[in-house]
Amino acid sequence: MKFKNIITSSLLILTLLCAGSAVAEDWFWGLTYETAVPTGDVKEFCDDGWSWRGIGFEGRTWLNRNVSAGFATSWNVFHVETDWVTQSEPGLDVTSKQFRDVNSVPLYVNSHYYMGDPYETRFYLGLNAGAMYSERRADVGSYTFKEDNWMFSVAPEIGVQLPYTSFLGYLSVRWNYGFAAGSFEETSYFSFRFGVGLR
Amino acid sequence: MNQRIPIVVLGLLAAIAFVSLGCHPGNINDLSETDIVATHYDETVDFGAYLTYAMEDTIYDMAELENPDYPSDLDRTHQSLIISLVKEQMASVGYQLLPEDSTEEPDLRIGLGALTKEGTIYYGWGGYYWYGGYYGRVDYTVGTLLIFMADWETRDEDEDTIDVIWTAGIDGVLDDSTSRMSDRINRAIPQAFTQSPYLGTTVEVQP
Repeated sequence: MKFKNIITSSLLILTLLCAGSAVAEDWFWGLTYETAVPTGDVKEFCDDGWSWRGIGFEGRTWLNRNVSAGFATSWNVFHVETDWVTQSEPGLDVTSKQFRDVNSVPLYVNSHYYMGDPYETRFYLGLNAGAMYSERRADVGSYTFKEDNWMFSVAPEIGVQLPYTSFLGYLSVRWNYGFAAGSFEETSYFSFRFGVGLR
Repeated sequence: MNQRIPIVVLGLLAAIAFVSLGCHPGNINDLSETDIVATHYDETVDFGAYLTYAMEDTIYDMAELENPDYPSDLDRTHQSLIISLVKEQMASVGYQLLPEDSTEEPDLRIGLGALTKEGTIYYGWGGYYWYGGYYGRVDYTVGTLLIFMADWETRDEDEDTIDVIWTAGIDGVLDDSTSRMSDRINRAIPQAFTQSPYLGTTVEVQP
């Protein structure tokens, strides 16, 4: 996706959110438990397969029966402990055990489109956009190497919303993609979200 | 009643998630996990061109070298083990130790040095922290063993200099257990030579 298109999409989401807050009939507030799988640069740094450490919070308001706008934030932690491994640079070789962590906290505004009746199970598509804070840290022996950056981030999402009365459950998959910042070429991962919401 | 269900579910979810979270969830289970073996070499040197070396049977306290008035408290418990391991590894890559009374000039000179520094670990929620922290604090001492390999032919006695062509730094948190330290030394010194396959070998060197 070109950067221009991303900006346009973000502005569209913001417009929807502002318009929605004026006409919204109700909100739901959701809390998610999240597992995640690193991709790209994060996978290279912290190839731990699944991350079981993640939590999220979000609010959505319906603009009509099929469209919502809202915001979301989450915290995902990736962790890996390497074996006694040797890393080499020209003229230099270092052998050690390493504890590597990636902490990512995206802050999104979003919009979702739902297919079907609100009181039945229905699938939805969504787009999140905003900022992401990400920290990469390696503890090597008694030394710590750390870098953190803020970056522009987008996250397409697909999910299913379960039937609800006073509360609802939902499952979704989100691909979080943070653009290059600092020495990070990108920061990306899939998050698998299991949520419950109050309305 | 219905309103209570989601609140309970939300609370349980939050509790599970927060317990499982933590910015840096790793834990050091053994101080040997703090060991680092780093080697640096001059890429323009043909290490296969050297045959013999000389070495003193002592480890210099680097702090004492920096400041002759410094009262050295270097623990020399493992000095003989370290020296014998270095000699063993030098022999394994093909370098021959000249006897102390030899009149022959060596090709290489090996020097050993050690230094220590103090640090602090803060234990906290979800893991350990080398700084910052929450609940507990442990002071520790990091020891570093340095092995220098110098080209004896490059010495300048007027300037008191010599070209160091290979350096190994072995760094780790020290503990009080002699047997465990021996195990760590027995692993680290051979590793320094293992990760330096160019020692004793003629390879195509960079101009």
